[in-house]
Amino acid sequence: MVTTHDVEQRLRRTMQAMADAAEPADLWPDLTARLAAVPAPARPPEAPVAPRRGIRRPVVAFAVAFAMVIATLGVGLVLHPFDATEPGEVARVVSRNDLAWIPLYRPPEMPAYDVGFTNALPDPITLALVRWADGTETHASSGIFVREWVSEETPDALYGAPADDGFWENDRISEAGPMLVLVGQRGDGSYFAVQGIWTDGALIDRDLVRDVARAIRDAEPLPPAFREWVDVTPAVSGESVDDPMWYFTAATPDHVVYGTVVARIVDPRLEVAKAPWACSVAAVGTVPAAWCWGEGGGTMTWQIADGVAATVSSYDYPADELMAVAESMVLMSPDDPRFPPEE
Amino acid sequence: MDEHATSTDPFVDGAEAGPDGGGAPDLEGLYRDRQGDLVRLAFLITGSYPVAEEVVQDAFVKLHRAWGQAHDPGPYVRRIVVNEARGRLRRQAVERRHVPPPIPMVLPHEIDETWALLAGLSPRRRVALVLRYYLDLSIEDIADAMECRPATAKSLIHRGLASLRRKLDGHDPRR
Repeated sequence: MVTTHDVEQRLRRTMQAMADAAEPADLWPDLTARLAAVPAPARPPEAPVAPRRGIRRPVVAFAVAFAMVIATLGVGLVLHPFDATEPGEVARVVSRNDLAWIPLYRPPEMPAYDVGFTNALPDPITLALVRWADGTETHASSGIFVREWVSEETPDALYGAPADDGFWENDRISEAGPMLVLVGQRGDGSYFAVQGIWTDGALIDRDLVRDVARAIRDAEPLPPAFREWVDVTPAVSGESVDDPMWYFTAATPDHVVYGTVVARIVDPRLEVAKAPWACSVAAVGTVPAAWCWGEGGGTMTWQIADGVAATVSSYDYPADELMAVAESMVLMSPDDPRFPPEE
Repeated sequence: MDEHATSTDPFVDGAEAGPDGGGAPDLEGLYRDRQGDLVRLAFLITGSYPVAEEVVQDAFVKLHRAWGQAHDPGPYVRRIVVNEARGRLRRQAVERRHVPPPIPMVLPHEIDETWALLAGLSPRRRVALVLRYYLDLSIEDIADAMECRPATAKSLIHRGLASLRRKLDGHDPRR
């Protein structure tokens, strides 16, 4: 009979033995070379932070990912106009003010869909939703919403008891900086998440995050700030960017499946237009699915190459849980053997 | 290079290597202090030495980018490494499914067996166990490194141990 103590001792011995066997080399020269190729470090906290207004400012600070079941959508967002796109081409999602466009890659296998974006002033908040050819819309989902299907944890387990206004609140220090996560529950029992990410030390309006969450939960109009549409142009155009992020949603109408990709971009054209999808093709082999990891902690892009499902990811979300989300989506098709559950 | 090591936890402190000091010298000091330990940590999580080295290099690149925001670089870079390693592990797990990574060395049976069983755990459980039984971190520190609640960390450790115990006991039909 093996006891827990036995297992603990075994683990200690094993890990120590394995660690002792590892002899790390001096890779400082290699790291120095790598650092020479990356942007300069972010400005220190005490550096003045210019107000982030308009599309000239880098889109760095803040993301909102909404999770809603299609049938429960009630938020009156308006999609940007966009260019019609042939499958396999890079789409041109044109902002309302026609100041810029967002390159999107539409996989040939994906059915027709349109993606809308917005950044709301005063803080750059990105909302994404998909409008299908039949007119239905899908909002961007967050990993947390999907977690209820795949995770052992509930919002209670993750964040403790909800606050007085019913939201589970969590302040995190993400790799990008301080982040606020609010998790709410709609009347139908579904969860959604509103995430605020800071990357430059600027204090964001926490009340705004809460207002957004409240509006979503109560199916009320979003705060007026969200009606001000700008674009994520700086992240795309390659202008001065400290920590560009980009968001999109892809889904298929045939599945109760949708996802959000919150891609942190180094070279936007490489990271967004090429890398995730190209990776999926390269890694596919005989398995009609693939995955790719982008920049940023926990960022993941994942795609089923045959187009039956979606891409899922979220910025700075535990990568393995993102993968679990992606796999769970596939597993929602009970006949699909591609991702047998783990232990 | 040891001037940064002031704690029993090899990843805690970093005061001298703090962001206020600015540029490469501090980063280099932190790197030289921690790189070896971080590589070992990443190796225990991923099971692959080359991957572990890559994870740590990537982590320091990210730390470099966030240098002005990392108030305590030691735990910060450890958190990055844990996240990155966990992500790599997850990807590796999907890629090779149930085939454990080869161990390029001759090991005692107990080590070999335990290592293989460890590789079969889910990434989160494996990470939690490595942090607990290799680094001897507290539940709170594990939760911090894994960005989860202490109760979750405790649960992961408990379930990971239980899973290993079942397999070692021969009661797990999936073994």
